Amino acid sequence: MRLKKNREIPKPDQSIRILAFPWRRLVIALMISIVCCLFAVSIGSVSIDPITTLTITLSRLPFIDFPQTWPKSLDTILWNIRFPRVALALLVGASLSIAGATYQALFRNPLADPYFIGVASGAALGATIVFLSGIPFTIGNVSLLPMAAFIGGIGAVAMAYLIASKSTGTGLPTLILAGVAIGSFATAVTSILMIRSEPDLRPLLSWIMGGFIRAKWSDSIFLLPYFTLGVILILVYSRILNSLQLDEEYATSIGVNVEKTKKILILVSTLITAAAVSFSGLIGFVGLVAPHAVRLLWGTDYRTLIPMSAVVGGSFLVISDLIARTVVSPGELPVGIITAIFGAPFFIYLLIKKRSEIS
Amino acid sequence: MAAFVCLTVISCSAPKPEQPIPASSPQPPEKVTYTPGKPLAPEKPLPPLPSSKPAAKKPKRPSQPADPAIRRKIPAPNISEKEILVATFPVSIIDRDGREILFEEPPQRIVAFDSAALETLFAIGEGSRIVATHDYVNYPRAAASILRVGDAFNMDVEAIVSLEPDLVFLFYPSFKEQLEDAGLKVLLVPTIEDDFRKMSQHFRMWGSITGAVNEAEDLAKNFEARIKEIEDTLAPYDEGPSVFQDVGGLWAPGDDTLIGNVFQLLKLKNISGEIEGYAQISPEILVERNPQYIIASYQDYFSSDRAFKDILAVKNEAIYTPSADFLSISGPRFIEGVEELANFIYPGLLR
Repeated sequence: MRLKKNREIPKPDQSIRILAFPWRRLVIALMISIVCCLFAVSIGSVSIDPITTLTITLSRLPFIDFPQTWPKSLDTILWNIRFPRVALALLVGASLSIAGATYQALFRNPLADPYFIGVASGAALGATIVFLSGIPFTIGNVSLLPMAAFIGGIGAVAMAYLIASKSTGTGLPTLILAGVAIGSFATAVTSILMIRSEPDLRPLLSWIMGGFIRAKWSDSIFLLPYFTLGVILILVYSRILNSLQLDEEYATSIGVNVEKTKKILILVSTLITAAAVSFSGLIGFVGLVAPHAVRLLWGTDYRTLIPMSAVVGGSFLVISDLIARTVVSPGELPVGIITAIFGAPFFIYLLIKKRSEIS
Repeated sequence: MAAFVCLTVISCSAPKPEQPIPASSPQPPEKVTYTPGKPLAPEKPLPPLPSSKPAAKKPKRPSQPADPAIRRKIPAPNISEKEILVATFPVSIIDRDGREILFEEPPQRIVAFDSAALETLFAIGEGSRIVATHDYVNYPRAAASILRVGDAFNMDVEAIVSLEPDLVFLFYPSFKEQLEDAGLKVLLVPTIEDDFRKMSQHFRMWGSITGAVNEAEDLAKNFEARIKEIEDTLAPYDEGPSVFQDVGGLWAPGDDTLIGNVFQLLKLKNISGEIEGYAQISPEILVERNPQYIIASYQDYFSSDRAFKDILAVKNEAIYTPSADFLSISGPRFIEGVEELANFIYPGLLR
């Protein structure tokens, strides 16, 4: 599927007008995602009735005090387990979606997702090393696992980038190929480590399949600056992305420093992806599908696409995680399974619906 | 070596019938290193097990020479009295698929592709028959020099064939056919994953295969006696504390698992009991069910997480970190893991 060229291509000379920003859509979408979050917070494997949920939530706000009539464990469950979980799912979903959207334009490839140039394989290798080496996952308050995954992810892309810039054509195709090569290599090393290891592989496998089971507030706080920086930078470059997704030469002809822009965008997307992956594992499908769903619904203008992808991807992951943690209660499923099981049919439905609308 | 054991047994027990003496091993028999001392013999001789055991149902060993046609099957016959057993061959063992594997004589070159089997063989003094095992074996120390021919996913079939083993023991079936096609005798008995009491049957099985029936019987009886002691000690109590085991990433066992059965023996209430097998459990459930004890490899994992700070086990620092992998191998050391756990939860109650 080529990106749709014929729909809503902004004119390049269009200046950034603050009014052109899709405020109304964004507000509606944000409200929907807030509803999703509240819904997700009020449901869980331990049932807490909505009034108690609301009371506990409100009592956390400043200046509001309720006499504590609920068991302390409910407070812990809501405030230290469910809220951080929903927050992290929202942030990770949003991060992966904007990274995916950016890659799709940069590489002019509809199949591009945040893991396109090796982040995922590198992060998985980093996590596997920590898992299987017998190092404790946390030393004091520092979690080693996310750190290792983050370094692994960044490292893989950095290597791919170095290889691409050393070779003759510094174009993006070389970067994709180098990313694929590095990714395969990292995956192979991960497999060797897993095969040669004695410990129980289930925890590692469920990390690789992705999930928010151990989400903490600190995870979201770590992720937030990357996400904020990413959204701002990508929005700043969204006009350039609009022209890049069509043609590099065209972008150059209108005075865009293509090489520099690409570098910045690749760096930013990789950072957000690595940060997201390091806490949640490899959650597939969100970063690929959320931007496409937004494209199908609202067109290909990146000034709309980026904020809407963030909102849609975030909400989608919040709901997926809700399903993952309730459907086999008291057990949990890796959220990556849910995103694919529910995301794929939804996406196919969108494709068919849009096709019949157009014809 | 087994021949050696059998010979001595026969010579010192006069009224015993003549037995078909297994062919002596091609190599000069090593000195049996097995000492029936500390870990194997019960600390105090226990009375014969109560009548709940179907001891009376099974006929005593026939006084006539055993007809080769009457083959002993596993589970081995119940012997309630202390008596000297005599290895009889042929022995037939029922494998996983219900097939009979026949042993005319003790195998001399065993590929023991299973930690529990290897530890059992060493515990009954037959470790020198093992010619190869898998990568993860780390006990006993005498096994360190044994050749490794594979791991949980792979098996070096060529290397195994070149060793010319007369028995390959497996606990998972992936390579069974390939080995059998190579003309090897394969015995597949899956690892015990539910009732740990079945372990004594496995011990006896190895005794009858190798001929070290007395040593195996001692090992099995010792195991049963130590289980019984825990059972008897805890008999007056209705229910012990609640417990949660994290095998990593909040994966926890259900009641139907090996460790779930140990919890039942120790009267511990497993908070993830309704799970079948193993599953990842929701942290919400963990907080709500508020276990009094947590079993985990890493203590920090729980104590450093704010979400878990109000759990009784975390507050009371009742997080148990097993000292070794006793409870993960269903072999002779398993009971030590059970006792260690029992002593952690009920300090001073046992012995």
